[in-house]
Amino acid sequence: MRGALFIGDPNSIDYLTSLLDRLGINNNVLFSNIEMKTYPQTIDKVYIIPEVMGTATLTSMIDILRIHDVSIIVGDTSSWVTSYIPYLAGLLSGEYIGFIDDIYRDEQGFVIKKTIFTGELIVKYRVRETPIFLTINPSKVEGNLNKEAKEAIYLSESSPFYKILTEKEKEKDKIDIQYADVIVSVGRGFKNIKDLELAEELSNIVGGVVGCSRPIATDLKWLPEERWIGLSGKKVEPRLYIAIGISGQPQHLAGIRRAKKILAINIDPEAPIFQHSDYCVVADLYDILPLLIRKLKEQGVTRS
Amino acid sequence: MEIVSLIKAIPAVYKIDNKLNVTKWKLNDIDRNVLEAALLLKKTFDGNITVISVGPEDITDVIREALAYGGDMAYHIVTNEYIFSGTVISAAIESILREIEYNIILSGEASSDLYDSRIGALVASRLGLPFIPRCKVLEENNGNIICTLDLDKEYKVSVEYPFVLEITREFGKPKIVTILQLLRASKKIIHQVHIEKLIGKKSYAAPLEVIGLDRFEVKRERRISTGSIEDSVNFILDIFREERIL
Ligand SMILES: Cc1cc2nc3c(=O)[nH]c(=O)nc-3n(C[C@H](O)[C@H](O)[C@H](O)COP(=O)(O)OP(=O)(O)OC[C@H]3O[C@@H](n4cnc5c(N)ncnc54)[C@H](O)[C@@H]3O)c2cc1C
Repeated sequence: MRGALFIGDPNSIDYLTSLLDRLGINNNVLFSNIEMKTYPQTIDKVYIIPEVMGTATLTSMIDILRIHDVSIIVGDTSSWVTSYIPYLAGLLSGEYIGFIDDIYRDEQGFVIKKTIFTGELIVKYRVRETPIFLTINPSKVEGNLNKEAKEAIYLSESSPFYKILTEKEKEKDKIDIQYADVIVSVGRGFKNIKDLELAEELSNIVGGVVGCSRPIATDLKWLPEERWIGLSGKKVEPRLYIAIGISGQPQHLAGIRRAKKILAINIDPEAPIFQHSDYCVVADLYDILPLLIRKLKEQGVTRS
Repeated sequence: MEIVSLIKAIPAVYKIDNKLNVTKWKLNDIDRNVLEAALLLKKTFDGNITVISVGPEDITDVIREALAYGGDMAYHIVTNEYIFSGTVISAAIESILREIEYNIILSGEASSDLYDSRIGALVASRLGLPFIPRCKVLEENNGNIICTLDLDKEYKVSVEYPFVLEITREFGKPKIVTILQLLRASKKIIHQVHIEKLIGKKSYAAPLEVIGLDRFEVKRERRISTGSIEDSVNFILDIFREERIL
């Protein structure tokens, strides 16, 4: 059985390769938007795909999947990949399941596990027909994969779906909140970008990283998108998650269900976040944070 | 311009006993943004909004709400139960779209229940239409449609219809519907058609089987501090010690 990997983030290649390895699938095809120096040995063919989707590329990709008789296509969750993959699935009438948690094999075939209903339920699916299309959020891989240089084949697009007029880079971030031990997370309860310094300071003292709700990254652009936590952002599992000025909408909660402990600071006693927290502080963040930081400093706790 | 809005009713109240039993439905959050985009197009280009939704008999109130937001008429593809398969949903929507006129089809970035983010792309691909992902701003310039896309970079792009456009949360919602709008919506036409009539009984028996459905429950302690600022800060310091953060 052959598989295909579809990556928008070069860092996800090891995880997706190991995942297919674990399923006993190799001689894989890789679709990517950037050429790399080396590739895992189990990758047989490398194709570089244009940024903008279009009929020519999609047709070539379908031919490639058919020629190589690919049964399972796994992608990472970059926005580029998650827009391409369902389109390919539609062209091949394959089932597409996005943002899955895990896939494994039993005697009857593949079982796909996914958290649904903003984290309230876990579903297990069996897909009866191939090809199957999936996306999964990559995690860390233990050890190093054997890699080698490979020739990459470039696909070109003559009829793109849209014409790009302008493009703007987004601020990128090196901090990986996914594996942070402590997360100090900020929401719209913060009134100004400058006030995030309070969260940064607390986070430095407790050896954590600063995360945020979606509007802080998207509407306000106060933090890079990699820091946004929730259904459509990062799913995190810290030892302590400190939610400050975050209301606790289901889409945010979906990203923190696996946190060991949750501490919430919110001025509104009715804020839904309190229903889902271990420690609930009903207070104004602007009263709590300066005093908390001062006391921690007085006790000589600084890690920055 | 003929505008189609794909909207979804998602479970608001449900039980699970081997399978999912939904007792109350609500409009998927992002679909208000989809309807806002449809209204903007309707205002700019003059046209009609057709709403399409797939789900059991009792999602009619949700479809009425979508009509109250500004939809002109609706197709309700009736299913016997909640559908998990994107193949089944998109095949049913495709068969309606093959029968009606459209210029732009709008879908939301994802539904909060299954969160696959797929229906727009699946429908586009089945109909052989361009798919424009993650649009957060829609503008008109000399009759051309300009979209701002929130991908790994932010792109401003021009598009020619017909196409399927995916709308994100950042697009913004329309105002809350008034009782008068709801009353008017009760007079608008909803065509009901059973999914088996559209795609046949065999395809409806999905290629996707649900073999397990369990609650994911996390018990939280909910220890509350409502005292003075000083008390609350001490409460937090105690937690830091307890959790060995310090
Ligand atoms: C399809 C979809 C996907 C989404 N995905 C995500 C996601 O991945 N992540 C995400 O976060 N959101 C997501 N959202 C958005 C989500 O629905 C909420 O809009 C968002 O989480 C709200 O962010 P918030 O809690 O920061 O803001 P608000 O809901 O505005 O809450 C602000 C909170 O701050 C409190 N506050 C105000 N002042 C103070 C003060 N001085 N001190 C203390 N507390 C104060 C208020 O009481 C309030 O509870 C998604 C939405 C959709 C439709």
